[in-house]
Amino acid sequence: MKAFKSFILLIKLMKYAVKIEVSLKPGHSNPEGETITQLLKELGYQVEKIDMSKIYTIIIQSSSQTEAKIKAEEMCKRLLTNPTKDNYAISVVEQ
Amino acid sequence: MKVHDIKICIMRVGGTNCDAETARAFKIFGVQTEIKHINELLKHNNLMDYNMLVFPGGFSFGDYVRSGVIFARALNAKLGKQMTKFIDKNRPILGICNGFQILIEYGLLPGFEGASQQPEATLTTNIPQGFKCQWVYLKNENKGKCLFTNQIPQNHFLKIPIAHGEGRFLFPVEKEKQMLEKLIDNDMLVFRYCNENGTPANQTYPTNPNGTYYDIAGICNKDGTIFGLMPHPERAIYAWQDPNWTQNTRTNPYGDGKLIFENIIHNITTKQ
Repeated sequence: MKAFKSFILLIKLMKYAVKIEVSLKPGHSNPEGETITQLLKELGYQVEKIDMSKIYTIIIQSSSQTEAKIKAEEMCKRLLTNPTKDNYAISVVEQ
Repeated sequence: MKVHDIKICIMRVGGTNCDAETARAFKIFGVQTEIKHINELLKHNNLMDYNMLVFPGGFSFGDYVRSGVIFARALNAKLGKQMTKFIDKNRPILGICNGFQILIEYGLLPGFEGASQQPEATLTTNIPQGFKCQWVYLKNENKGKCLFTNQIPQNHFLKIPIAHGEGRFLFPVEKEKQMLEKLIDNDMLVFRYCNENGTPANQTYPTNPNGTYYDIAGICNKDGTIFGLMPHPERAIYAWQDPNWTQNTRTNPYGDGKLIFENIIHNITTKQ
């Protein structure tokens, strides 16, 4: 029991900021970006194209940076992205 | 099974807003309908008490992340085992609009090899961009597999309204032709947008109102028991719901949406 307790104490959880950027896969239309591009042109800006992405900054407790990244991968696959149209990039920073 | 013994569960969460009109549409057939919040079904563990499950339209969980995905994941986490049992018993599931998005995100549609771990398709932002609320024509392309349309003749077309901002059906670009072939070969393609003569839209706006691939408006799973469509049949139950009803010469007091409900109720009465 003592050994088990000390083992638990050894696993120190750290706080990490995981940044997940979800963007459209190449070849997919981006009607929202096209609409904004058109409006910015009408406002007088020489805008050619707008690529858009969504950024999630997730504060998570984890035993290591690697584990935090594995969890972030899981979140992408289970909820944050649809593989039909989305790409994602993950970066992890210790808090 | 007799019609009045049929129990239909209309599942809702926060943001669902077509539950009452869907229940109203079923009411004219004399079946029992119950609108249930997902947590009530979790609490009573009684999904199997129902003969059919409906995911109505709306904006479940505010359409956050992607339309339908949070409902789909919550459903899988909370009622996954009950859902699997329901599906394994071949009990029908209908997804209308946001309900179709939920079925896609859950992996139940298209479901070429049964429920998939990750979605095999998507319903994404309309092209042209924006929320579209209009009447459309749908051509029945199904050869008889879909339990919701198998009494409707193939190539027959229906007039039903849409109301959505994210109804553009897509397969992964690199596999879209193979997946479309599979969809057609397995008789899983149900409705395509068409013009008033029944000719498919061939990607032309506004006949195809949202830029959807191959004019796809509705599909079913490989068993024909799970059906999702973007248009709202519950809003085309009576002929007078059509904005041009005063100009119509038809004598039928009902609208085309009724055919879909009638069809599935007929199948439940004969098969369950």
